[in-house]
Formats: sequence, structure tokens, C-alpha cells
Amino acid sequence: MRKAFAKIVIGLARKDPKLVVLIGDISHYLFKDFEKEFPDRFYNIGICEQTMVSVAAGLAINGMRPIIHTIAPFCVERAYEQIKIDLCYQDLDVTMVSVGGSFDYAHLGCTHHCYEDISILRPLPNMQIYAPGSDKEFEDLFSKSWANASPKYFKLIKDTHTQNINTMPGECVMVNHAPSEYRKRIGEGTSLDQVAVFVNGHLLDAVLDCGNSLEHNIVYMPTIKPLTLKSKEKIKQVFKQTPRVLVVEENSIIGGLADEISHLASLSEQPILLKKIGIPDKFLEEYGKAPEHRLALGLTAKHIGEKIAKLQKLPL
Amino acid sequence: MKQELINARKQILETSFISQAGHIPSAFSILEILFVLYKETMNFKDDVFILSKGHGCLALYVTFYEMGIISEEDFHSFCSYESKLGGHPHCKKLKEIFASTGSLGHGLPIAIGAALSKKIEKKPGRVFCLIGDGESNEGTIWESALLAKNLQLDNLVCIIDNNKSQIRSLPVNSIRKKFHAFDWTVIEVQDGHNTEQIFEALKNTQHSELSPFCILCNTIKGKGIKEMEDNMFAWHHGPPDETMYSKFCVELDEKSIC
Repeated sequence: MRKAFAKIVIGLARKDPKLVVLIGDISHYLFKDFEKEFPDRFYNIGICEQTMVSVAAGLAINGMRPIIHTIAPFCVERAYEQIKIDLCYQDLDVTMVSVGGSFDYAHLGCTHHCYEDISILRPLPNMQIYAPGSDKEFEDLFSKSWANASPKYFKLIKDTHTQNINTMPGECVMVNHAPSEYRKRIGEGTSLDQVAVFVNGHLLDAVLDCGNSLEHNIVYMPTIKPLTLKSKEKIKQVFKQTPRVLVVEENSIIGGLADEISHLASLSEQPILLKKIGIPDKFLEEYGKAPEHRLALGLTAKHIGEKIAKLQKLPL
Repeated sequence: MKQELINARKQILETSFISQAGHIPSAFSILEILFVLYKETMNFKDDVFILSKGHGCLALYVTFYEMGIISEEDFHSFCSYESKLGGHPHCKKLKEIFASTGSLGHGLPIAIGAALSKKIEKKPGRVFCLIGDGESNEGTIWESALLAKNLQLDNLVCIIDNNKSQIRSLPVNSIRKKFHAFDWTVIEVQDGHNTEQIFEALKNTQHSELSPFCILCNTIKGKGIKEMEDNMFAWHHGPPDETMYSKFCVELDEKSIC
């Protein structure tokens, strides 16, 4: 998605003279074509993320539309107060695009991990949060939310899924790859032994590959916040039809998508059984590669399948 | 002391007394700077100002009041529930407030962004930003000092309210030398309460050799009220009671007779 990001930004910059890119001393090579074409709209600010966020705010107050790009923990965690006050309190059109989360730089250790970005950005008023799972999705979300006058965060994880998803900012997507066949098999109407699986990013493939995905409602969530009313209504219907809920995400189990879904569940008037698979409350002190961490954390098709099977048997 | 500055100080005292809120000594420290900026220096079509040390906002608000930007009622509503004027300035409450400040070290990098946007779009005007010596404990001030020079922002003017209020914790000494070392053009104002000196310094920020300007103003926290000048820490964030309010007004009136 990183390459797609650089390509899309060039296209947008040709249309929007207000677009300006600030990088925190990463992705220089990736943006070489951009810099060549728009030398006065490309700034490698240096290794000073807090300052970079505030500079973006100053640009945006004067009508520019800056994109800030650096590694997730430095962009989000180090500069958190600047994001809160300079971007969100002042409600400015600044777009943050991070890479490296959640543990794409697994071999570099915890200093370079960031699986709390979504958790800590969610409580900030005005902030929009997107976790696309493919180049196409990134393009859809990025282009369609461009110039919408709000602070935005895009989390780009290296791995992508293989599905063809059409999405718009704020929308959840119902993924059910053979609904008619399925309905024929189980008959129309509610079936309480189904599970609704909420997921985003590349993990959609793991959910679809978990062995019995045809039996479940899969709700794909590339937008974490804010959801449109229509999407909230769709989710409400999912809860009604399928009160057994599993949330799968490559983020801390504290504060991320699962908490957004449990918040929506809390608005429901019926009992809902909600379980989550994510990153537990601990530092991932091992190194290696991202798939090794996923295996250890249960962010795999096999573990998701087992969790669903258990959930189906739990009494409501 | 000029009558308009005595009046402004009395108005700040009155507002602080009514609201029982406000950082009076910080406001008195920067009052002359703001008067010179708003009344004699800035071109409102193109120039902008950021009060990075947002807690000194009573000085900004009284300047707005003096200039007819806000009403007496607005000014006296300071810090009340529905007021436009909070204990720190917020841009969504009043269009004349360029940036919301209050957490120290944010205003200067925001000013860099504003100055950079003018360079990108080839727009005229300068960006003035007022920071404090205490605020200069923040790392973002020095990140910004490095960055503003690197971006050659000669349309950026950082004014430093050097009231030495940081002597009790982490003093920021030799500010002139420090900004000079960052390759800024530094102009020192020996008496940051002398409006002519401030005016002259600001006048000299129109031409440069691709470097930002630092106007180092040596000021006195609580300037004009002996009790505050002598006890700046006790008065940092404390409104006067009725007795003190009356006493301070008398003291200011005596300066007027002199």
C-alpha cells in the first residue's frame, strides 16, 4: 500500500494545488517522483514529529491540505498532544499516513511497534480513522475523504487481503460470499448459531479462510471512525440477526475496533455475546517477522475458526 | 507609563477581579509588545499573530477590546461558561484568534506552518509568534528554531517575552546567543516595556537574508504592580481580591500622575 500511497498522492496533487507532503525523514525514495514534480510542496521536515504535526496545523489554518507521513509510533504516540490540540481541537484538514504498524518492523522490537494507534486516536473528537486492507481500498478511502475538512489517520500495514472490496469512507461492508446458496441451505430467517465476525485490514482473508466462514456474517470495517448512520443501522441489524459477535483485529484488544463494536453493541436492547481476538495487554518482546507474531497471537485462520466454533456453543 | 497602557492594565485587573481568574503578571509582561504589534506594526490583511504563551491572553483580549474587536461585555465575560474568551485563546471562539494555544511549545511550529504556506503560495505578510522564556524549556521550540532556519522563513518573527520567570526551575539563559547559534537574525529589545524600542525592533524585521527573526524582549513579569513584580510566582495565576484590586488601581493611577 505504501507504493499505492505515493502514486495516489501524485494524482491528487495534480488536481489540488493545496496538497503538501511533509515526511518525517522516511520514504524519501518513495516520494522522489513527487518531489521532482512538486518541489515546493514536498518537505522532509526531519526527525521532529511533534513539530511536524504542529507545522501541518499551521499550513492547514492557512488553507493548505498537508499530508504527514512517518512511522506509526513516532507519528501518533510521540506527537499525541499535538494531534489532540493542534489537529483535533482546531479541527483541521490534515491527513496522517503511517506505516510500520502494528508490528511490520517486528525485527526492530517494541520501540518500532504500534498496536495502540487506533486505541488512542479513537477518543479524540473530530478524528477520522481508516485501516484499509488493500491498495484499492486505500485509494477509495483516501480519494473520497480528501479535502473533507477533518483530521484523518490512515494506518497502512504491509500485508493486504486478496478480496475485491468496494468501500466509501464511513461505510462497513457486508461480506458474505455466497448468501443465496447459504440461505437455501439453512432457510430464510434468523439462525442463532451463526456468528457475526467484524474484521478489518489483511485479516479479512484469515476470517474467510477459517473453514466455516459461509455460516457467518462477516462485517468488514475499513473505517473505524466515524461510521455513517446507514452503517450503524446495518450493524444494528447484524446484532439483531446474529447476537454472537467476534471481533478480529491486528490492534491492542484495548480501545480498538473491538471497543468500537462493543460500544455499538451497548446501544442494543438485546443481549449480545461479544468476544475478541487481538493483541493482548503486553509488549511483544520477541523479534522475527510479522507472521510469526500473528501465529503466536492467534491472528490466524485456524485460531479464528476455533474461536468461532466455541462461540457458537456458548449460551446466549 | 503611557496612559493607554495604564488603562489597559486597570481593565485587565478589573476583568480578572470580576471573573476571579487569569494570569495577570504574564499579561502585564507582554502588554506593550501586543499594543505595538496590533496598533503600529501588523498589516491585518496579510500578517497574523499567534500567542504561543496562551496564558497571557488577558493582554490579547484587552488589545482586542481597545481596538473595538470585542465589546466590554465580551471582555468582562472572561472565563465564564459561555464566554468567547477562555483562560487560553481558542480559534473557534473568535475569528481574530489565529491558533488555539495553551499547551506550551505549540505556537511556534504552528507559526512555521503558517509562514511556510505563505512561501508556497507566494503570499505576502509576516507571521508573528510570541513565546516565553519559560516556554523555551519545551523541545519543540528548539526543533522549530532548527527547522525555521532550514526552511529559510524570513517571514517569521518570533518574539520572546524574556521575563525570567523560569529562574526557579530550568532557566533559559543567553537566549540571544542560542537563537544566534541557530542562525536566526536576533534583535534584542533592552526594555520590553518601552514601546518605541519594541516598535524599532519590529520595524527591522522586513528585510533579511533568508533567516527568521527573533525579537528578544527583556520584560518584567507583573510590570506596573510592585507586589506582582516582587512576588511573581505567588501571583502567576491568582486574581486579586477587592482590597488588592483597589490598591493596585491606586498604584497604577499614581504612575499616571508621574
